[in-house]
Amino acid sequence: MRKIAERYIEEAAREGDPLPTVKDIKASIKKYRPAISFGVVSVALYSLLYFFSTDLTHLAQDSHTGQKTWFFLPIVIALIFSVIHGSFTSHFWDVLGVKAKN
Amino acid sequence: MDAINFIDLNIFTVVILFIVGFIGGMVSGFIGSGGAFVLTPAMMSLGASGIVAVASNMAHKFPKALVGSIKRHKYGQVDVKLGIIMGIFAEAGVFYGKEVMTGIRAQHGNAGTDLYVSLVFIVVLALVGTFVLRDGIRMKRSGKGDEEFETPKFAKWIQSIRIPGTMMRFSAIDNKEVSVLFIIPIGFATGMLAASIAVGGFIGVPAMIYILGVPALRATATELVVAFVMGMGGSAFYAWEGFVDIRLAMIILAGSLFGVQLGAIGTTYVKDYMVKFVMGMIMLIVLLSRLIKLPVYLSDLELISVLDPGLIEILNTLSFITLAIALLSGMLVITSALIKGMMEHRRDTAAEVARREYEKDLAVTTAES
Repeated sequence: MRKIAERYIEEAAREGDPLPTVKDIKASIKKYRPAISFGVVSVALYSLLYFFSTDLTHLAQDSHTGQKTWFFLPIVIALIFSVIHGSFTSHFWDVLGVKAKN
Repeated sequence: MDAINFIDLNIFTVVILFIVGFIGGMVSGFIGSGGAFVLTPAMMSLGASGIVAVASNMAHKFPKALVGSIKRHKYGQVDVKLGIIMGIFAEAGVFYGKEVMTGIRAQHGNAGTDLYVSLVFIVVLALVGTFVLRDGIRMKRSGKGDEEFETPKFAKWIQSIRIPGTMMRFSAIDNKEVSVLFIIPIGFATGMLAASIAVGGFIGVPAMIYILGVPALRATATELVVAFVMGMGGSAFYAWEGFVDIRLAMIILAGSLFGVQLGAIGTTYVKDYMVKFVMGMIMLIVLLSRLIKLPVYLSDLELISVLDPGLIEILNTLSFITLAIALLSGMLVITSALIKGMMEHRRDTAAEVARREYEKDLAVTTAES
């Protein structure tokens, strides 16, 4: 957050604009917050997927051989990833300025 | 029961799946479907078995379709009711399609199903692809946009048929009524095609446009709802059998969710004909890829003289490259339409701001004098 604020002040100074107010800086941080938050959670989810990848393939094998207690887990995982990662990618393009036409 | 062979993932595999997922997602966000026809063979060439590739592909498709449809719902392009009704019948089509495939496999083996899939591809793509592309080019030439959307004559006739007890009102066709009895076969055929060639939208979207009278942009958006409903049921079926490799599915999803957002944003900058143009173009390039591969299947079934293994290898590679070209060209057209649309929009917005400033200044000067 501090880095964003510092960069904001630097850019304003370089372009000869008046120094930003605290309100401007807060607005700038607010713009990035959702993308950063969802990005962090998304990375955490993918890390979990990596750490439990062997267990997940075992689970699929179990479903294949008749132990179907956790067969629905892949569907639940897919839905959770779609919500979190989907929100991240949406905010990601938003922050980059790629937005839909009104 | 045999153990399933899940592939080992390395950085190369992950990067390839991410990139193909991204491009497939972009095309899917724009035309409502696509990507699967490259993803399934790509996964198989990385070592996944056919059934695991199909199951994992489906498990990444339904969450992608969910995200895409939510995004396009925000732009007011989705008819949820039509999507859910079509999706339910599409689910039935998926199960019937699977039965057909299983029957053919039992009688003629894998070469039989490959030939069946290719023939379905060739017939559907040649007929529908040519028609959609021609219509898109005609619309572009006549300079018509969304605002002048004209309901096709056949769709007008379908909408005029009143069957008591079956009529439903849909927002996608300007709140007009249409009989559910016409939606059932469309949904069913979409599901059957999805089970055979993994791209149900190649029949669902054109059918919505030319039979029900839904504008192309709304048809592609509604197709995402159909894909979600049908994909979730299909994935649960495969997960029950243990065929879903969720690691593969989620890696593809990582890339495709970036793409699907971009494709959906792209639709807000283009006119109806552009969607038809991209869809028709992709369908015809995929058709070419299947035609290249056809002699291989005919040779496997010994319907023509057996081909040299070297020639089979060349035809297989050529066919896969053509599929990749279909996706890449779709991505290029969508990207250029998006960039062009955004630049035009920014220029228009800047011109509008300048005009308002000028008018304000003029008003002040006039008041002062």
